[in-house]
Amino acid sequence: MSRARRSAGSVRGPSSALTSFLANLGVEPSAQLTTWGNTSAINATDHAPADGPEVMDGIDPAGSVTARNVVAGPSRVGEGTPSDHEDDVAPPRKRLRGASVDSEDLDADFEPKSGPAAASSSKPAVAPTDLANIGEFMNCGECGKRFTVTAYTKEHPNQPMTWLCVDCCYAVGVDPFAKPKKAAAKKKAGGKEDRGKVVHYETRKGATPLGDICIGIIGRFIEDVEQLGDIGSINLDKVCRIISKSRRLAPETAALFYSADRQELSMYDCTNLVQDSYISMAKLCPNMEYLYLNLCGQLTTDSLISWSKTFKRLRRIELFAPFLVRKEGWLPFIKSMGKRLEGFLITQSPRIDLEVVEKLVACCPNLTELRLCEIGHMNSDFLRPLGKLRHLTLLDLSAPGTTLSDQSVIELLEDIGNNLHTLNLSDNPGLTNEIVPAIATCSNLRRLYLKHLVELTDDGVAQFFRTSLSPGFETIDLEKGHELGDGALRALIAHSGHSIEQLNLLGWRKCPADALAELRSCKHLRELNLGWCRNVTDFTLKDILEGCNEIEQIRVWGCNLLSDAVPRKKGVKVRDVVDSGERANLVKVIGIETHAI
Amino acid sequence: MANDDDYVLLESNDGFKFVVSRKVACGSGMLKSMLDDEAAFSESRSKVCHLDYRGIILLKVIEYLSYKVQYADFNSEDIIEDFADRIDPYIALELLTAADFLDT
Repeated sequence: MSRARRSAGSVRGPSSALTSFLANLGVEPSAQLTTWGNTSAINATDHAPADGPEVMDGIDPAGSVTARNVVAGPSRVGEGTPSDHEDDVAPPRKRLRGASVDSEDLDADFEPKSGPAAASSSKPAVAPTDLANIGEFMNCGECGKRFTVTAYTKEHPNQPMTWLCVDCCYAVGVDPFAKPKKAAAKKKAGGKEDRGKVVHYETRKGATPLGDICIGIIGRFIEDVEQLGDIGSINLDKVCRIISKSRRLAPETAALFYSADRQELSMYDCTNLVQDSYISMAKLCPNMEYLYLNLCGQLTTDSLISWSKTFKRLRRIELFAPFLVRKEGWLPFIKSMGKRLEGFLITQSPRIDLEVVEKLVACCPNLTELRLCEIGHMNSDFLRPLGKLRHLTLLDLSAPGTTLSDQSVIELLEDIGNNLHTLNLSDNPGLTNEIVPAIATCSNLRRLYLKHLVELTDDGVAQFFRTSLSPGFETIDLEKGHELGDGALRALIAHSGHSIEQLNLLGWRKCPADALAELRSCKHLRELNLGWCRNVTDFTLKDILEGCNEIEQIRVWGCNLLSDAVPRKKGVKVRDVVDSGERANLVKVIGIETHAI
Repeated sequence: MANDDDYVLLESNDGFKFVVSRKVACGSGMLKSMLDDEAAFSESRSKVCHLDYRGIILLKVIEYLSYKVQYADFNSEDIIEDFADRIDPYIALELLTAADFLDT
């Protein structure tokens, strides 16, 4: 309270302005008002400390200062101190409050309070409510009298949500005319400023990156490509990667990569390309043979129909996410490609159905690479026609809409398994150990992806590696083979240890550390994923780092037995999640938990 | 960390050498890590960076870096001077690859 008073006192300047403002409104400054402004009055009261105790009895003394008083304060008020009495008392009370804060006679203060406090309970308390609208009536939280709410109405300092009449303001020591609405108005303004700041928060500091400036220039001069200079096709691919990296590949900039002599085109982020970009692509690149488009979500049926007329030499097409292309687009496209088509690699399409696949098999017998990954309509029925594609070396049937059945896969592999070089049957929860013998008979298989086949067992996979006719795998991905363990791993190493280059054992949680350490005999291993193999220790990594001379990268996310002491081979880089620097010829060990902390 | 007011030498692949204040050179993330004392690359010791770009490209990159450092504390919309006006479209593609590599 005393603080509030002081602060009010310190705003003397404004209060005089308030006085003149009130004078304009015809409000005559009363005695109390002048008291507020008049320090000499306060001083005068200071001179009469003897008044103090009496005052305290009558009104709220140092009520706000101590916790005990909080209860006592209001109750005293309830005694219904008459306003004229208050008037006399107000100045001394202020002083008293100051005294109660600073002085040692707190005990003296309390004694008189206790009496009134007891009385307070009997007083009619005013229920705490929100401040009513200006002009309405409310009951004073101090004296209980009805008063008119004004812009200056103040909250009771000790009883939140109750409000004071002007007279009680003096009694309680609140300046009844202190910065009334202004405070609220300022708050609102502050809120608005804050809201504004949120917008400002997004403004960028500093100059535009040079790369963005260059991309802008390229876009501006795209019509006049000669002006941009020739940097060669390899660098152009690099430029494409750079532009894609910031998702700046737009219809304008994409034209940079179209030219009549182009045979290969890879675009790494086609998100912003529209139908016309795809149509003009085919028209401007009639000699295209290999096309790879990533994130081509806006590729439409019409673009594909247009392609079927304009791409006369296309042999391999790889599309990621051509959602919008309907059957009406695929069918004419496949028909026009005919025997020329060697690679048809589609990931994520909800619209390719059995009819499209049958058409593909009928029209394109020379297919060597086929990917139907994440195809919504896919099920075991799709596999029957595929048996006619005898030249297939790459087959990817991962993550179908409905899981494939063992029987259909076995029949398919009987037909075409011999030539297969790469096989991907990931994310088919329905496949079991039954398919293992069929895969084992694929004599040319070098890359095998069987991610997340939950039904595979340790014995089944071990049996597979014991019987496989493959001369040795380069890539094996058995991610999330939760049941797999040392039997499978030892058989794998025995079968393919001499040839394996990439190995993914993520989620082999039961695999013991000593079996994993056997990986040291895989001399050509380059990339290894040991994520969530819970038994990996520093010593396991030491064995692998020492044994595998060509190792470049080891991922160890979730291997929480690893410590900071992970060995680092000399001249070999160990990379963890924190270390962002990269140097060539060094092994990256990614995902060590303790490094992230 | 070395004193900020020293100079480093940037050398292009066709023999041009540019003496640049460290502050300006460190506007590029790539050069900053190359010259970082803690990284202990030979560049940080000798304060010489060989960059596989033509002198004209490197010149423009350095010009941009000083522009960037100059305006580092400005809001983007408050920068009236447009650096694009200073780039010859003929070198835009090459400059783009350099800008990407140097992380400017």
